[in-house]
Amino acid sequence: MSERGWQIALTFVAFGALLALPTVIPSFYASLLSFTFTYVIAAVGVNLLTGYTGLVTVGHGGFFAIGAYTTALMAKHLGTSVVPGLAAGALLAGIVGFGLGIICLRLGGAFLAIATLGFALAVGAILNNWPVFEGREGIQLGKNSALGVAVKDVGFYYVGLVVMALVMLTSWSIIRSGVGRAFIAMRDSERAAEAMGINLRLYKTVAFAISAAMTGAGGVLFAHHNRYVSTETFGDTWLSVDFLTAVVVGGQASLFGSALGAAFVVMVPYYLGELRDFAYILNGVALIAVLLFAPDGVAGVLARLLRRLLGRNARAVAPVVDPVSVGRS
Amino acid sequence: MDLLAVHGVHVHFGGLRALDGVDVVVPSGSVYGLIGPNGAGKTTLFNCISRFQPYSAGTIHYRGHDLGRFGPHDAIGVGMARTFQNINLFRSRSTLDNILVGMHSRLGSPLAAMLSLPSGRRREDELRLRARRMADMFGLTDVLDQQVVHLPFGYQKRVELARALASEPTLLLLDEPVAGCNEEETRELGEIIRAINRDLSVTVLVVEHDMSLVRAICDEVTVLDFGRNIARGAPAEILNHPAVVEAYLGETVAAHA
Repeated sequence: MSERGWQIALTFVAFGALLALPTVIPSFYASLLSFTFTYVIAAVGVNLLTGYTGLVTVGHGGFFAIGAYTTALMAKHLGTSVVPGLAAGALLAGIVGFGLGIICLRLGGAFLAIATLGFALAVGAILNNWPVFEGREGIQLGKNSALGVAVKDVGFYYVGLVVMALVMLTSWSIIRSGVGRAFIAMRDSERAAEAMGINLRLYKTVAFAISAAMTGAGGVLFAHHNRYVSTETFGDTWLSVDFLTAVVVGGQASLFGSALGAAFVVMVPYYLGELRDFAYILNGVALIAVLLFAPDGVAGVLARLLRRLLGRNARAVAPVVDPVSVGRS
Repeated sequence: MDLLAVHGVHVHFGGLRALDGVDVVVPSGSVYGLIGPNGAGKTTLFNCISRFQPYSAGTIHYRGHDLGRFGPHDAIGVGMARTFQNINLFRSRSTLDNILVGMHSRLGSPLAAMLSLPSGRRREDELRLRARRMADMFGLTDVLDQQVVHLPFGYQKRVELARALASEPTLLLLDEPVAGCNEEETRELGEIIRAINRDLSVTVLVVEHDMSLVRAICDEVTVLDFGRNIARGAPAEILNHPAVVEAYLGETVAAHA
């Protein structure tokens, strides 16, 4: 079987296992996993922009918040549930992402990272100060239902799984298409990409919009999972940092890596329990270790191992965005 | 018939007149050389034509299009493809992917492509087939799936040529194609460029320092010095032209020659 064949087979096995899992684990763990799915969805969005297109974002917590508050306000005022919330939240995050993409067009590298960080801070400030969003008081969401069916822990797990699968499938379809090739081409060389007829302005803003919409969808699910949103969670920039950490530790330009990385940033604080504040330190250590020793992340290391198992020549693969170039435009 | 016509183009960088009213006319079907000493403005003119450099006065017409309002990404859509002075490939990608990006202007609907709609997938299959043929033509079939950074220099040069030709251009713009090549490689690339011109009926405009290549492949050349035209003609005559010898070697040597 080819390497590609193995990838597809392993993906099916993984999703098959995730489908069966709730029948053998306590519903509490199903809830923890569906919480993880919301992070995976957000990280896949960040990966499309940072891993594939090479535009580093430290602001996607802002899009996550836009998704979460869109559905929370809709639930409160219109009584809507998950599915309309997903449509509206992803759309609104996508539109704002398009706008931010236009504003940030001329920025790259560290300048872009700082600009996106500013965006996340601005979103936090708005949520904190505009009464509609109810600041630290927060907004409660009612019991969850999807397409008219009431869902609890296990039901919501499947809602999350389906949305995650759809987002990953969309992302995969984009990446292997001519549009995905254009994203990667811009990352490798903007000048050569332009010479090949790729409209940098258009493709960068589109990458921003799609990426923001995906992360926004993650935020919608997050709000329904917790059934509560407040600036306790959304008022600062830690979500943004978590997503970027997930993408880099898991493996840039790898969907599987985004899933692994998201699981890492969710599970570490969870299993640290009382010591959860140490998660920040652990995340930082993991980030530095990966950039120093395995710039293509955990997924890259696993891919090399797989290649070795298959007996193929494990040629060193250049990291997609190496630590040196992350800081540059 | 003239494919490309440059008239009175000016480019100023602050007080420096990089181009000071340059005229170049490239006939359809030719291999046309653009030469001149360092700092003559060859590369600036090349970048004006390929739209990477704006110009303040003058016009550039290509097959009836006024290129003044074109951006760098618009050139390939009307049939002008370029290469770069130092190899500029998509380094993390394979040979095949590099050639496929070269076909970006033929992608069709981006939405159909992104969502893998039937029409998008059909187009993708067509493009892949054509990319493989292009690779075959340049002897790249064996390295189709290899990351281009790992390829030897000569292969990388060929990938860049194949990528530029993948869009099926009518005009190929080459910026010092044999920079860094030894004599043998220069001769080989010269033959490849002639073959592209002859077999694919692609007009070629080449900026070059290497006079052996210019002599071997160009039908006609324009010589620039200090941002102005100083001579035009067949390479054999032009390289003995007094103004050209003077530009390259300086006045005193020219007087003694």
